[in-house]
This record gives sequence, structure tokens and C-alpha cells, in this order.
Amino acid sequence: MLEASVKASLEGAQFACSQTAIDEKDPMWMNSLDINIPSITISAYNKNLFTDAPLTIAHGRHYGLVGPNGKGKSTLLKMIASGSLKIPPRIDKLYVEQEVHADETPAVEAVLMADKVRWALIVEERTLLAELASGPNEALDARLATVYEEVLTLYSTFFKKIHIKPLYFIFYPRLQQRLFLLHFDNHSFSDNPFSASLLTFSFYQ
Amino acid sequence: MKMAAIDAEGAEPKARRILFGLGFDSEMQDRPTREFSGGWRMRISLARALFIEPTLLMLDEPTNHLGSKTLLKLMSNCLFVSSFSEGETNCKL
Repeated sequence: MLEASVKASLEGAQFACSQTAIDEKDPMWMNSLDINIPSITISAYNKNLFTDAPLTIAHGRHYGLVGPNGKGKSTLLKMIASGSLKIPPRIDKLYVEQEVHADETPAVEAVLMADKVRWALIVEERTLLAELASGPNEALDARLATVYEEVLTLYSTFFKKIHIKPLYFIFYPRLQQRLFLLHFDNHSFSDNPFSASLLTFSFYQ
Repeated sequence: MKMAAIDAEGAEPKARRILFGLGFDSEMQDRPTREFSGGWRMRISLARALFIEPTLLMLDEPTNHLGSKTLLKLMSNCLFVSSFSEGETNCKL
């Protein structure tokens, strides 16, 4: 849904995007967690935003994207988010827009919907249960069972790793600060001077 | 419902905990997103990011709608999480 809306806004603005040809069956490409595209070209309204520009995003690094208005910062992110710019398939991505889409969806559902695979299963369960309410149906029952099985598989892999703890530190400013410094120390060895942690540290002071 | 049973220790409580951590009380968690101001909507967006912990997280001026106080809280919080999942998350600001 979100991807579609991003795509539509791109098409409306007549953006065009091309990149170095990739072999989508190349195992290197399929397994990569780094983004390494030797050349991308993005244009809008016949004006080139990026011409033959290399794009390298190393896994685990933090990047800040800096530039004057209208030079294509958001466009580049939208291109990646919408899939117009192809990145290795193993990288799951989330794009947080400047203007947040809002509707009748309750806040908690909006969060749950971020996990598209799981959300699709929930929607399917709802439909199946609604159909089953009108009478028993073996085929639908079987389908429902597979849905539950898939959800269980999701849990055994994905939802076991829950990193909630850090959030609690919001309520403990002093503790948070101490840990924050720790975090800063971790990064002080980083060779990237614009690592996000350094950036925030100055904010924090 | 069975889905709810499977969910007991799973996704929905996780989503609610994240929202709670960002300042949403239980009544607010069930309120339609359109009833929130820009700053609160941005928090929902950030909650989405914290919820799925994507490999590539792209934040497009995430601090736009936020006041300076919230901003400090969220910045430290957001980056905090990214430090925990070090080696997993790319973060763009």
C-alpha cells in the first residue's frame, strides 16, 4: 500500500531512474547485505538529479544524506523504497516519509502493518473466518490451518528476537545518558566521522 | 480466535510496548492515526521502524514535526536501538 503510494507520487512527478545492469540470479547479488551499484542515473522533469553516480551503502553503517533543497535526497530514498532502484533482495527496507500517511487505522494496527508478511496472514485469517461463519467448509478450514502454521513459523524465526529493552530508558534519563555515552564510545573507533551517534552527541550537549 | 492466542507473546504486545515507550497510553494506541498531530504521526512511523527492525532503514527528515524536547528523546532512543542491532541496521537521517 505504502509502496504503491510512493510509486504513484514518483510517476506523477515524472521521475526516471536507471542503474547498472544487474544479474538478479547472481548469488553474490542475491545474498548481499551491502548495496553496491556502480552507476545510477535519476532524473526528474528532464533535469538530471544523479548522473552516472555510484551508490555504496555498507551494511551496519549509519549514513547522513546532506544536500540543498531539490537535489534529490528524498527522491533517492523514494526510488529505493518503491523498488524503482533495485537493491539486493535480502535487504528488507523501511522508508519513513516526511509527511506521514494517516487514516482510520488505529495506531497499533499501523505499527503491525509494517510487517507486511504477517499482516497479509492476519487479513487472510479475517476473511477466512468471515466466510466460515456462514457455514462449514473443508477447503477453507484447510487454508486456515496453513495460515496458522505460517504464522507459527514466523514466530519461531522472527519474533523471538525482541529488542524492546532500550525503549524503557526513555523513563530513566540518568541511566539513559550513561548508556548513551557507552554507545558513543562504541562508535568513537568508527572511521566514519559522520556516524549518526557522533551527530547526536553534539545535539545532546 | 486462534491468531490472538498465537499472538499472546508476540507481535501485538510488542507493537504496544513500543508505542507505550514512545508516549502512547493504551487509549491512544487504538485511536485512528488521522486524529494525531504531525509529531505523533511521526512517532507512529518510528514505532513501525522499531517494530520490524529492517536491514535498511531510511528516515526522511524524521525530526521535522517534532519539538526540541521530543526530538532529543527520540533521537537518543532511535539511535540507541540502532546501536543495539549493530551490524543489522543501516540508518539514514
